[in-house]
Parts: sequence; C-alpha cells; structure tokens
Amino acid sequence: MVAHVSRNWGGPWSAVLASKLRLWQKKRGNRRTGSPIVARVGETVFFAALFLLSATILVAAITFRLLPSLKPRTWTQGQSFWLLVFALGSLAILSATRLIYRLLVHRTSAERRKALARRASELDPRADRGPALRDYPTIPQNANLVNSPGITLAYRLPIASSPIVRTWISAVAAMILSGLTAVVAVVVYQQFQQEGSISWLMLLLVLPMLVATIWCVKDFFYCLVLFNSVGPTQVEVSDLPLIPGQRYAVFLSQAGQVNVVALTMKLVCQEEVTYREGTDVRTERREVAERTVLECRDFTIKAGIPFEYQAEFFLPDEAMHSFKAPNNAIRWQLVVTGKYRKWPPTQRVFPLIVIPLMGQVNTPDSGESAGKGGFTWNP
Amino acid sequence: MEPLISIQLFDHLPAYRPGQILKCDYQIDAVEAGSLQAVEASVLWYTEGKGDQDMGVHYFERRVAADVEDGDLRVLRSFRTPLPNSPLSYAGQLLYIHWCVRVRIFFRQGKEACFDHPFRLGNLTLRGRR
Repeated sequence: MVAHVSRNWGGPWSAVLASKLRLWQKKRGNRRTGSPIVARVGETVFFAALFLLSATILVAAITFRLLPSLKPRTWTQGQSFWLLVFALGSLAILSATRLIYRLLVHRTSAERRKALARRASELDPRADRGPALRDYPTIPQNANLVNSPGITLAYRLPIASSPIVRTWISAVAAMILSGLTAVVAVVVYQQFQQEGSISWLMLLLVLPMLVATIWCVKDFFYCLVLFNSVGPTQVEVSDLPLIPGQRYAVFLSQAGQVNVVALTMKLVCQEEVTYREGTDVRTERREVAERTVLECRDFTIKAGIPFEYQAEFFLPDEAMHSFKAPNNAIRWQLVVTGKYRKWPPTQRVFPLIVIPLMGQVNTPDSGESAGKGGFTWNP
Repeated sequence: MEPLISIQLFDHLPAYRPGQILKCDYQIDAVEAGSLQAVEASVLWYTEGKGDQDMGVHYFERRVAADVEDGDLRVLRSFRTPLPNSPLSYAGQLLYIHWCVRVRIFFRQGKEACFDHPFRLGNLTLRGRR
C-alpha cells in the first residue's frame, strides 16, 4: 500500500485572511483581489438597506392610499400610484431575494453549495439522463446522436450547423432589411415629390441600408445556389459513443452537382473555453488533436449520383473523452471540408461523443512528469 | 499560529483508475480543541486555464462539533469513496482538469483555512500539438 501525506506547513490560508483593506481592487473574471469578508458584509448591508427603504416607502404609499386620513401634509403623491407600487415592489423583491441568498450562503463553502446542487439535481425527476451516459458525469448525452439510424452503418450523425438553417437565416435577414429599406426609400421619395429636394440626413440613412440590403440578398442567393450545387452531406458511423482504443467505420455521402478539387474528412478534438473580460463574455476554441480520416481529390459529383466513400479510423488509447461544463468543453467531431472548382470551400461539422476507456491501468510514466506539447497521433 | 492540515491518500500514485476506491485520512493540528466550528472534506475536480473555473464535487462531508464524541474535530478521520468514470485528469492547451481532496476548516471567530491534496484520475497523456 502506497500512502502519501501532504501537510500545509505554513500553508495556504484561504483568502478570507486578507490582511489589508484595499480601496482599489482588481477583478479578473470571478476572482477579486480584495477581502471576501468585506465584500460579503458590504453586499448584505447594501441589500438590507435597499429592502428596508423600498419596503417602508411601499407600505407607506399603500397605507396612505387606503387610509387617506393618516396621510401627513408633507406626503405628496402624483397620479402614477401603480407605477410607484410596481417600481418599489420590484426593488423590494429584488433586494429581498439577494439578501436571503446572501444569508443562506453565509459561511457556506463553494464545495458545500456544489454538493447540495448536485444532490438536488439527482433528486430531480425531470432531469433526463440517458441510460448510456448516466455513469459518466460531465460527458454530454448522446441521445441526439443515436436516434437516427444510418443506411450503411449503425448511426447517421446530425450536422452541427446545417446549411439549410444558414440559408433560412440569410433569407429572413434579406426580407427584413428589404422591407425596412423599402419603407425608408418611399419616405425619401415622397419627401422629394413634396419638397423637391432630399435631406442629407435621410440620404445618409438610406444609402447604407441599400448597400446592406444588396449584400443580404446576394448572400441569400449565394447560400441557395451553394446549397443546391454542393448538396447535403451525410456521415454515418459504426458505433456510438466512441471508446479510445477502438477502430470505427465511417461512411460519407456527398450529394450535389459540382466539380470537387478535394473532399476531406478529419477527426478533430477541440477545446472550448468561455471567460469574462470585464463585462464581455468571450469564447475561444482551439483544435488540439486532428487526424485525417479520408481525402479524395479531383472528381465530379453528378446530379442524382452522390459521392459515397467508406473509411476507418482508430481512436488512440490516450484520447481524452468528451467533456462539458458551464465554462469549459472538450468536443470531438468529424469535420468534412470541401474545395470546389467554381464554388468557395464548405465545412460541415458532425459532433461525436467519446467516453473514457474503462479499466485504464496505472502506468509509471503517466502523471505530471509528462511534458507539454508533442501531439502523439500519426495522421 | 496557522493550522496544520494533513491529508493522506493511499494507492494514488501514479494515478487512480476510474471506479477505484479512494481512501483518505485527514487530521488537523496546531489549533485549539474548541476553536473549530466545522470541518469539510471533499473530493472534487476543477478546471484551470484560460476559461472561467468550473468545479464538480464528487464526495462531500461536513462535520460539526456535535457530530464527534468529545467535540474534538481535530482527530484523525478516514473516508472512502469510489471514484467516478469521468472527468479524467487532463492537461490540454486552453484547459486543465485537476482532481484533489480538499479539507476546509471553519473557526468559531469566522476565519477559514483550506488545503488541497492533488491526485490524478486516469492516465491520459495526450497533449495538444501546438
């Protein structure tokens, strides 16, 4: 039996013991440099004062409305009684909610809150957990991936961003902008007919709208023609969820009527992180692993005869599983990229779920000693 | 004087396997017997990297003085828990996933102190290529 003891000799006191009170503090996402005790007390006092103030005025306003004889001479109230009640009521509810939350979490650690939240979610009968992934916390469910059987292989994968949706969005944007531009153009024309001149302000408004409308309409027709020419892409896999160390068959079907320069399918692992910078929420994605599954060059797809190709890929033992948390994610996906002779390139993404390899053995070389970088796959 | 929190893990090197039983002992020293209000021990994962931090608690126990026979929360305490299948420890480019046993102590006068003992779950060595 191997045991290891850690002791916090002169160890890390939590930030509660911050020695100095700082007037100016830095804020980095959720992390602040100031004293959490001062922050908690300040927040509690602020919301308590806000609640007391709003509740007192609200009660006074309602009492004086119901019992005018009690109303002091100094109390004046306009016609907007219900607006006052609405505003003060909202303020009282908001501050009371925040005050109760603050009191409930007083001296409650983040771990305890998380444990309570987890227990509550486990008791929630509405929480739908797929049977396959019930034992795999933080791995997204694969219900949407396995509900569509394939023709050649077991499962047909859904597309992450459908070209049909893109075409629809483009069509709606083009219609809305065209309508707005038409209305403004009519107003300008009527002004020109009545006054014989056009104001510069209206002209400055209508010209950018006209340019944006032309761009949107062009984009819509571009999407429409591209969709009809390149056609839908279908991807099927032999099994789901994927397990490291296994070999899988994949089937690609590409319809359309187009001369293809290169059609490539890659297995990609992508990290996605979300972070806050001030009031901005930013998301960054990075491909950390990639393997070419198939690559075909210089061929023609004819109408009614889709291009079909079956290949195999191997998921290495050391591949990380899929992971999904509120601010961080690891995604596996099959990315189909097409380059065409007359059309711009297309990229279609098909998500996958990878679960960890069970019964992983302890190996002496695993651990923190492994260095950074050095991707271990061979394409 | 600062408190001394000792955490002992068994069979955790080089890494735990998913489903393996984690056995942990912990003890608090260098504090007076009646000064502790509560002690929390948890087995948790958390993310580190460019994104905001996520955390998940796999095992949690909270003990107050009333839970212990003579009210002394400093004495050696053991717990065991089977580890989950995921998430495995991971070192990527934008994102790291760490596992640890965390012991947090609450003093009667309002102060807190905590200490983490990291460990690895799974033996992934795959890293980013850039």
